[in-house]
This record gives sequence, structure tokens and C-alpha cells, in this order.
Amino acid sequence: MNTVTKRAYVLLAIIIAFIAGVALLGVSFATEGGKWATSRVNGHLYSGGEIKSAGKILDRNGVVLAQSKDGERIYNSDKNIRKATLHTVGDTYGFIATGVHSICRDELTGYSFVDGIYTLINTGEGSNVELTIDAKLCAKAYDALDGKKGAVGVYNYKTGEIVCMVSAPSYDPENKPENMDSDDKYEAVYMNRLLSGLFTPGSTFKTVTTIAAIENIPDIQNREFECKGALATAQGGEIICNNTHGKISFGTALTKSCNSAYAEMGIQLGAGVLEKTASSMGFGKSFNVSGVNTAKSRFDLEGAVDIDIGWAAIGQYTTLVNPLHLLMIAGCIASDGSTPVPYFIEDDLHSVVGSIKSERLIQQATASQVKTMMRNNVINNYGDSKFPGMSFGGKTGTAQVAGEGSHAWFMGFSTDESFPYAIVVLAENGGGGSDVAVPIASKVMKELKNSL
Amino acid sequence: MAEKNEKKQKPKKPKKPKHPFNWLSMLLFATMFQLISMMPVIFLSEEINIEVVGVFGGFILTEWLYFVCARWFAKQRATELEIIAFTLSGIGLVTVASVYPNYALKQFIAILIGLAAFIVLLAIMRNVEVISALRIPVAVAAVGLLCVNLVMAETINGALNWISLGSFSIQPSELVKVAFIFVGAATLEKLQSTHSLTRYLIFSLGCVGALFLMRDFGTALIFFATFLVIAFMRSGDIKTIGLISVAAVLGAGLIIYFKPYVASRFEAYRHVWEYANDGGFQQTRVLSYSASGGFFGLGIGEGRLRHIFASTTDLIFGVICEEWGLVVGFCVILCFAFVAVYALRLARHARSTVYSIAAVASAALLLVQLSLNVFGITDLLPLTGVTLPFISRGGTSMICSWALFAFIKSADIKTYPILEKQMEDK
Amino acid sequence: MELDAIYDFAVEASRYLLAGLALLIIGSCVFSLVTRRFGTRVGSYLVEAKTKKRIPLTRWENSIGRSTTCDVILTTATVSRFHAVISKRRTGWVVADTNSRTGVFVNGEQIDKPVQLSHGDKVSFGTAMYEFFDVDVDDLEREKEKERRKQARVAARVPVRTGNEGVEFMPALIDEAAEKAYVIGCENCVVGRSPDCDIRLKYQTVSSEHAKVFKLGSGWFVEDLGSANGTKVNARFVTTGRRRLRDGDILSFGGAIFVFNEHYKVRKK
Repeated sequence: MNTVTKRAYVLLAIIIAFIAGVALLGVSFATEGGKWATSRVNGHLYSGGEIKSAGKILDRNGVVLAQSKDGERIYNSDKNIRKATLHTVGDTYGFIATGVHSICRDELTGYSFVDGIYTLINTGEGSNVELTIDAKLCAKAYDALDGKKGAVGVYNYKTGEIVCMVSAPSYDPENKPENMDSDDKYEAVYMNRLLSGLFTPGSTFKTVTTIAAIENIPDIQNREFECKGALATAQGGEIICNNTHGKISFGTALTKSCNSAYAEMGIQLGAGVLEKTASSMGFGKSFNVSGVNTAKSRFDLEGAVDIDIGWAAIGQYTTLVNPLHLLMIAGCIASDGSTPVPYFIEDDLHSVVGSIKSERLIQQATASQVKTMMRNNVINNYGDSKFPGMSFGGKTGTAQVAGEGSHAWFMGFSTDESFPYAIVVLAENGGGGSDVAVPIASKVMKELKNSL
Repeated sequence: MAEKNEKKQKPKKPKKPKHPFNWLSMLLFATMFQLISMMPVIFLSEEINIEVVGVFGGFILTEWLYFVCARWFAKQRATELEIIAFTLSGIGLVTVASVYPNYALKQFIAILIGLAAFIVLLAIMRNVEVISALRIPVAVAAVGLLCVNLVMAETINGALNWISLGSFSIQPSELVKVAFIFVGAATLEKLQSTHSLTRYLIFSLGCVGALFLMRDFGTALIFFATFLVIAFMRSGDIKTIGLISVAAVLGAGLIIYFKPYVASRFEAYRHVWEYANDGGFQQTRVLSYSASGGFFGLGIGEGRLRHIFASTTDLIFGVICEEWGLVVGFCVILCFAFVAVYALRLARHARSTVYSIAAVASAALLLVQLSLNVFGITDLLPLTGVTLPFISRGGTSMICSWALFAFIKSADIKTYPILEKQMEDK
Repeated sequence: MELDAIYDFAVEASRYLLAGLALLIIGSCVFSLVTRRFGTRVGSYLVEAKTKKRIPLTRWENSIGRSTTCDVILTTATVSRFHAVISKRRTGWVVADTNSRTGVFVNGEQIDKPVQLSHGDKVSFGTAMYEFFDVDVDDLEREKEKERRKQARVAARVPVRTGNEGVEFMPALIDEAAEKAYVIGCENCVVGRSPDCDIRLKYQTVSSEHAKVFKLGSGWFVEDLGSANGTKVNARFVTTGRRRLRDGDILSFGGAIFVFNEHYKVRKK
């Protein structure tokens, strides 16, 4: 009988397997419970796939951007603010995956592992989410884009707070247009272009080439280039310049945005050095902006010949950049080569000073040289009147896009220590950088300066 | 010297820890638990449903009556298993009554029949001779019942496993579970004189085959797992059992190869969120609402999973997690694991291999069925649609659960004070 | 208004109460289910006819055979691997032949179906001869014999009481079957199978820490330490508390039988 009763230990194996399963279930509830409870199938929070009950979303000044009342989700009463902050706040159906409605579901529903969503059910209120953006400034920026597709981003390069984040096209979530899927006007309307877009950078990329040149070509500051209106390469083909600049120094080449000079620099630096510099500056890398991973900027010269390298050096060829990444580069140039990763949702981590590590994209010495060059660029080309009292530095870009109008770009920053803000403006197929993008940037920065 | 003193001290410690509560206080706790859980069901509805109140009262009365009789007249000294059974049945009854007040009476009657089956089986299981004599008739009756089922089956929810009897419908496969274990248990004498598994194998094949024809794959799987456990307990023959398992896996493979629609039933497995509105509908709801409840639940009657199809049968674990909380939910499933540990210890010290085999097989069956249910609806295993023992709505399932507990309890010598006396001081 | 507040409080409290009570109920049931201890006792013996060696039958069902997986392993060549089963049934002890080659004989007659065994029956498995001892009956006989033995022992002890150089008298436990003596060397001895015990008894039915034999005042006492198979003095279980030991008492530790000799003669060290 002992032999038979010993076989009873087969039950122990089953018990252990069962307990392991229960433990796995418990761990799954602990780790993924928030995702499950706040998923779209939960009838407590959603109705017909639309979020109904959740906490408030507030901007930096306490303006309510979205809240729940009587089982309905209500946005801000101002139509412009609704449109301008839509991509930050997110829609109620979750189409805008990078919106607060999607990424902060746990906080909005007040979900906790211990209490589930009991607080929300019992009191009708979840936790509130506070943002760093200024709703009025966003509305101003959205206005300034004037119906063009594009993006505007402004952030404090010392702290990382994003004060303005606008993506266009946008729509009014309270009166959702019906034909959005078919209408060209609403192309990729659910994408936050600032965080998830990738665009040809055009001349704004010259900042990268400049940094590569300063760090790799000796005595570059005293170098003179010869611009004949185009640069012919050894294997044939030429890179057209926007003008015939003649003899031109390194410093003036940036101010004049001379393609010939930059293409020559690029070819001299070679594909390897350019790629190395680009990658050290964050190309090919994603940044975590309040839980949203930005699109990776792309710079790839594999198999490229001289003419390709030349085009790539002035931000054409296959080069693509994410607007927020460009904004970070502007911030780095302004602040000795490193900046905290931007964020737009207030959280515990950012409330402690010094808890956030800065991201170094540029060497310190190089950054201050480029800063001076870009400051000169604003003084000489656009004038300080566009950015009064901000000691602004910047660079425009006009990126050629095959078969469509050029993208208008502007990246810039205030060098004033007491006003540490950087801006990026993109107007898709908008035209020239200095004609289109600079006025938008000017309006936004003036508004920001006044509001402080 | 000091060391020696220490050694002397050691045995002085009392070896058996004294239990903090006696049976009466445990019964009081259980009653308190049931009363608290019944309150919202009674008072939250618009008008008080007299039938439900009556059923709840009847349930608590039955519980007290049972324990008083068991303690004072039947001289039972170990009644923890019944406390667990009553607590679980109570949770099921309250949940069913809160979702479908009209089913409360039926569920209560099922508990009563289950309790009766429990007592009758305990009496039958007292003597090995009675078990041996009943084995063949029970086997014949079980196969007969399945055949009748096959002939006059009624399709409910895709499986042909119901027989209608007036206003009641019974699920023969649940009753056959009890018979399956009853027939499988054998005395040492029997095991030693017939080494081969052939006869039991044929009986098992008949049962599993019939279930397959009824397309009740979940129950077939439970039977198969129980068969493996019983076969191992009886013969210890790992080779044969391995061979049978391989054959079964091959067979399942063939079925999937020739009948791809069987596999398509499981296509949402581990991808339920991608199929949230078709194949993964039930699982995603269970996960989402269970997590919503947190540790302490949203309150009985406050949940939303109750409105989903099969919420009181297959998905009842999710309803408990959402409304009663994860703590109660996990208590429910973990107490089966502890009952299994108890069954294992009983089996090691049982007075015949009959009881060892019956206790181990019952515990294994309960755990397998529980796993298929709980892990199935939470997407850790494919969803097969089996009930949660003691808790799910359904009379035959309730009777089967009580009967399986009877098998475990009968392995305990304390159940039979007369037999126990023989072992004590005269 | 006040009623509402009370109601809300009740609802809130009941959430935690439910969870707490569930934990309490399950916890206390699990506690008693898992800490439950099981005692089985030796029901009977097979006594080998020639050597008088006792083989305890520790289960209600005991398989007998040459195989090492049997409960009672017999090494005689004529015994089959799985020869027979002796089980305790409602009516008493029963032996059954399980298709053995050489058969089972009770009092010289071969059996073909299970047969009731009584105290003192001669049972043979093939050519292996045994006598069946039912402990319940055996105990009564032992008790009767006790008196006789005691008197004999007292009589035998007197002459050697004094004057022996190099000899001292110690209390001891005597296993008469194995002709072995376990001297009680300390005044508070733990008896058991574990090597840590003061008196180590290597018997299958003895628990690792089975009992305590100790001196209190001038008398010796025994106390059970919660053993699985129990301790008996003169066929009576020592359930709670201690039991006084007197010279010639029969002590049983889960079926291992000893005689308590208060003045066992040992050589002085």
C-alpha cells in the first residue's frame, strides 16, 4: 500500500502547476491590470468605444482642456483651443494614440491595483492630469499656421517643459467632420506631427553639417569657399545653390545658406564622419517624451556617391527629421550642447529638480560656436525686430519635396538666460522658410514673451 | 552542557499547534460572510424579492442544521471541508441570485441535492465491500447514461450534453464524472491481482469518446486528465501512460488537421485583445472588469460583467473578481489548492487504496476543471467552457462538486467515528 | 440624511469585511486541514515461525511479496513477487491470495478466496511460515502475563542488589525479541528514531521524536511527544500527560515492544 500511496505525489505536481498558474495570473493583474481595466471594452469607462468617465485634463494655467460631466466627455469651450490642443489631449475614441486620453488612461481613471476603478465609480471622478502646455499659446500657434499642415513646438531648454505643441491639420472634437477619411485636407489627421512626423529637413540640417565641420575640419573658421551658383561633383551631376555667392567664408556660408559651400564641406567630410556626427546628435534614436516614443530621425548614406553626400549635407537626399528632435537640437545649441528630454505631462519625476538627466547631443565648445553663428544669422537676415528682446538665434529651411511645394522650416532659440525657450516651426508644402516659417515663429514667441 | 540542556528543552514545545477557532466560531464567520454578501442583493433591488429572501434564509438554516447534526449526532470532529463547500456554494448562490433572481430557488435546490448526495456517498464509501459490489453496476449505468444522452441530446451552447426532464435539464457528463472516479478506485487486493489497465481503459475510452461526439471538449479533457491520474495511481506504469498521452496528442492533432474549425475556435488564444469583439469577447471582458474591481471589488450588483452572456456559468469568476474583489476571487481558487493538499495527505494515510485513489482523483479533477475555467477565461489557457465547481449556476455541476468532496472526506478516518474508535485506546 | 451616511458607511465597510472574512474562513480552514496529523497504529504482526521475528503490519492494507515495492518484503525464494494482501475489513483481518504461484495457506489449508484471520493462525506464503498476531488480542494476553513476569523479575533481582564491584544498576528498556537493552542514561531522555535522541530506536513505527522518559522525584515517567503511532504502557495508550513506569511494565512505542527494567545491571565504566 505504501507504493500506491506514494504515487499520490502526482497530485503535488498538479497542485504546484496550479499554484504557478494562479501566481502568474496575480502577477498579470499587477502588471497589466491597468491596461486591462482602462481598455476600450470596459463599459464603466467607455460607451460605444468612446471614453465617458475620467478625470480632468488641465493646462499649465489650470485651464480645463477636457473633463467628464454626467457620463459625457466635454472639451474646452473655445473652439480654437479645442483644435490646437486636440493632438495633446487626444480624442475620445483613441484614434490619436499619443494623446493624454490614451497614454494616461491609468491616471485619468484613477486606476490602482488595490482599488481598481472603485474611486471613479463611487465618486464619479478620476485623477486629474496636468500638462505643461499653455492652451492660449497653442491656439495662437494654430492660428499662425493659418490652415497649413505642419507643427509648432516650443519648450524650455533648461527644464524640458513643452509650452506649445500644435499639429495641423486638426479638427474640432465636439463637431467631428464627417468626411475626414476621404478629404485630403485631413491627411494623417490623427498623427501628432511634432512627435511622430518625419520630414525632409532642408537647410535646417546645415546646423548638423556645421557641427561636423567644426569638429572634424581643422581651421574651418578661416576657410573660404567658392560658390559658382552650383557645385559640380567628380562623378558628374551638380548641386544647385540658391544664388551665386562667389568667395564666401565659413561663417557667411551659414548666414547665406550657401548650398555649394555646404555640399563641398559634406563631400570633404565624407559619409562616415557625417553619419557619425548625425548619430551622436540623436539621428536614428527615439526619445521618450512623457511616455510617447518620438519617430526616429533618419540619416543614411550607405552606398551614397559624392552627389548624394552633397545633397544629404544640405538636408535633402533621403534625410528625414522629426520636428521634436530638431527642437531638441536647437535647445542643445542654445544650452552648451545638452538639454533635458522635453515633456508635456507633469509628473512626480519632473517635479524634483535635478532628477532628470540631460541628453548631450553636441560637444560644449562646438555648441557655443554654432550658437554665435545662428545668432548672427537672425541679426543679419531677419532682424531682431522679429524677436524683440530675446537675443534670438535660428536657422530657416526650405526643403524640396518631389512633386509638391517645399516644406518651410524654422528652428531657433532665445539666448537670453531669463527666457530659455527654443522653437521649431514646420509648414508642410508651405513655401520658403524665411517667408512662411519665420513670421509664424515670430508671432508665437512674441505671444509667449508677453504671457510671462 | 548547555547544548544538552537545549536538547532537553526542545521536546517541551507543543508539537501540534492549537487551532485559534473552534468549529462554531468558524461557522459564525461563514454565516457573517454570507449575511454581508446577501444584504446588497436583498436591498438593492427596487422591491424586496420574497423568494430570494426565503432562499437565503433556507440556505443559512440548512447550513446550521447540517453542522449541528454533524457535530452532535454524527460525532464529526473534522468539518473544515464542509465549511469550505458551504462558503463556496454560498458565494455562487448569492451571485446567481443577484444576476437572475428567478434562478435562486433552483440553485438552492441544487445545493440541497448536492448535500444529500454528499451524505449518501459518505455512507456508501464507509465500507470497501460496498464499493466493490457497486463498481460494475455504476460503470454500466454511467455508460448507459452517456448513450441515452447521445441519443436524446439537446444542443445547448454548441455542446450536446443536456437531457431535459420537465422543467429541469441535467448534464449527464457531470454525473459520469463521479461514476468515473468511483469505478476507477480499487482496493490493493484488486490492484495486485489484476495488473492490467485494459478494462478501465475501455471504460474510460467509452466515456471520453462519447463526450467527443457531444463536442464537449472541455469535459473530455477533464476526463482524460483524471484518467491519467487514476491510471498512474493504479499501475504506476509510466510507460503505458506516456504511450496513451502520445496517442491522445496525435489524435487531437489529427482532429485539428481534418476538422480545422475545431482549431479555429482557439484562434483568439493569447491574442484576445486583437479579437476583442469576436473570439476574444468573453476573455477581454473578464480581464477588463476583473482588473476594474481591484482588491475589494466594486460592490455586489455594481458590476457590468454580469450583463455578458454566460456571466453566471463560465465567467462567474470574473463577476466575483469585479464585484467581490480580487481577494475573494483568489481565496476561492486557492482554497481548492489547499483542499488538494489535504487530499494528498489523506491519501498517504488512507485505510485502503480505494480512498487514496478516489481522493487524489477527485482533487485532480477539481483542479483541472478549475484551471480550465479560470485560466481559460483569463486567456492563460484556451477557452473551453467548463464550469467553476460549487459556484457556477447549474444543478448537476453542483451535485458533482459535492460528490467529489465526499470522496475526499471519505478518505479521512475521522469521518467514521466507529472505525476511528478501533484505532483508539479501548 | 443620517441614514444615508450610515448606509454609505456600511457599504464601504462591507467591502473590506467581505475580503477579511473570506481570508479568515479560508485561512482557518486551511490551517486545520494542513496541520492535521494522522496516526495509524500497528494492527497486527506476522511472527516468523523459526526466528520469532515480528513483522509489523502498519497499514490497513498490506501487500506481501518478494518485490521491494511490497509493504512486507519476504525474501524466501518460493514467495511470488506480489504474493498476497492482508487487509483490515469491517469484520476483521483478511488474507487474500493475489495470483501467487505457490499459494497461501491458512492453518495448512490453501485458500482460493479471501479468508478471515484470527489471532494465532498459521499463515504460509509458499513455504514461508508465519504466525498471525492480532495486537488487540495480544495486548490482553500480555497484560495477564505481566504480573507473572514482574514477580519473577523481582525475585531474580534481589540477590545481586549489593556488594558487586564494578557493577551498577540503571533503568533500561529491554527488547526481549531482539535481546537488546537500551540503558536510560539521563534523567530526561527523549526516545525516538532520530539520531538526536538520547535513546535511539531504529524501528519503522517509531516517530523521530516519539516519547520522553524522565525521572520525577524517585519515580520514572513516560510522556508521549505527539508521535504518529502512539505510546502504550501495559496496552494502554498514553494520550495526555505522563504515566508512571513501574518495574516490569510493558512499553510500546508505536508497536515496538519493550520491558521497563528499573534496575538493569551494567558494568561500571
